[in-house]
Amino acid sequence: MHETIQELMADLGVQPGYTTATLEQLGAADSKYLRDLKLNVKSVLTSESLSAKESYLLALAVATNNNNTVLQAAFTAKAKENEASDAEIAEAQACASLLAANNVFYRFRHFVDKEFYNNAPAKLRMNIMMNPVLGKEFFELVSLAVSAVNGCEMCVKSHEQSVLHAGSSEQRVWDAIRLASIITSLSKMVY
Amino acid sequence: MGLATVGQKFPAFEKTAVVSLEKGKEFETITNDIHTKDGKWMVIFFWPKDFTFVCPTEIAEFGKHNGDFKDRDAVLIGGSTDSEFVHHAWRVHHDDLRGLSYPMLADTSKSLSRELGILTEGEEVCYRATFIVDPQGIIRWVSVNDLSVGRNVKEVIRVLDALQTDELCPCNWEKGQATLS
Repeated sequence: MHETIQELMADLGVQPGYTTATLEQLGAADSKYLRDLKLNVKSVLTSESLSAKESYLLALAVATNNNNTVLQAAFTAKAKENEASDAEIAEAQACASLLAANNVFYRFRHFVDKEFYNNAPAKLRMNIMMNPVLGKEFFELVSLAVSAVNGCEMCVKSHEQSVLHAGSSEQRVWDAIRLASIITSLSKMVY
Repeated sequence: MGLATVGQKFPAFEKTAVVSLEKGKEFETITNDIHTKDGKWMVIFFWPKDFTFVCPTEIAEFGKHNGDFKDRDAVLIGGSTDSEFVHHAWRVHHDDLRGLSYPMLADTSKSLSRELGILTEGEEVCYRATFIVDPQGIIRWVSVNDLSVGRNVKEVIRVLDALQTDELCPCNWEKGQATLS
């Protein structure tokens, strides 16, 4: 197996020997992209404005949103190593699932922009947003990252405002978005 | 006393209730804590008198839907001004009530019903009143039927759903409440 693939798997804590057809094809061609991917992953998981625990919880939420079971298992283990509680891990995943719903829903409302849809009640339960165990700021940051992946303009804009309103910084938002981007690209190779 | 209504605090109460037919475990004292301590909602409803005809249908219907209330983080309680012993006897003797899964509150002193303003004049029995109380103890919905009119439990669940599905997502903040504060 290509050395860079082995190193990437070791960084992620995925069992040695795990590979995918896509990775193997890039390995066989000795693609330079493998090294870029490995360095990007390392870089986004060790940004200064996010703690290790926060980075892995964010990565877990993005992996959940991307239906990526391999990365979900890897980031769950890493989050635990960094003292994330079961409740926090569960909430990061719940947040990804809820936001996946809200991204579809509000994106529709925003695309169509008709009075009826804008005013009709959603009748959807969003109660986990009320008192998140992750804290309001971080819950909003996860919501923002997932919304960015799912491409809902209205959700991205409103969560960006609410995360700053909850006391975050533009630097943390920036690092969370870099992380969400790279974990999404990682999902195309590790699945 | 006027009818307690939306926005008001549900009165503090401490009452005996029938919670089971198992010997030695029949009665419990119930207070507001039953829902507030776990951050749950409370759905509490009253009927005029035990051993009457409309009541058991309604009471059993609430019981059938107790799972729906539990799913919605709501504690269900029924009650009347009958004593806990009358409640117990009624439950023992009525097929539809024997397996009831929620407490039957005995407001024997009528103090709670009086504070809620749901007693009839003269005989002082409860109207068919239903209250939905939020986890902070605030009344969020009241409905009062006259003595002969049964309730629609599905309507109570519909209202609870509507109260619990606020669009909490910031994506909705543009609508109605432009400010973030």
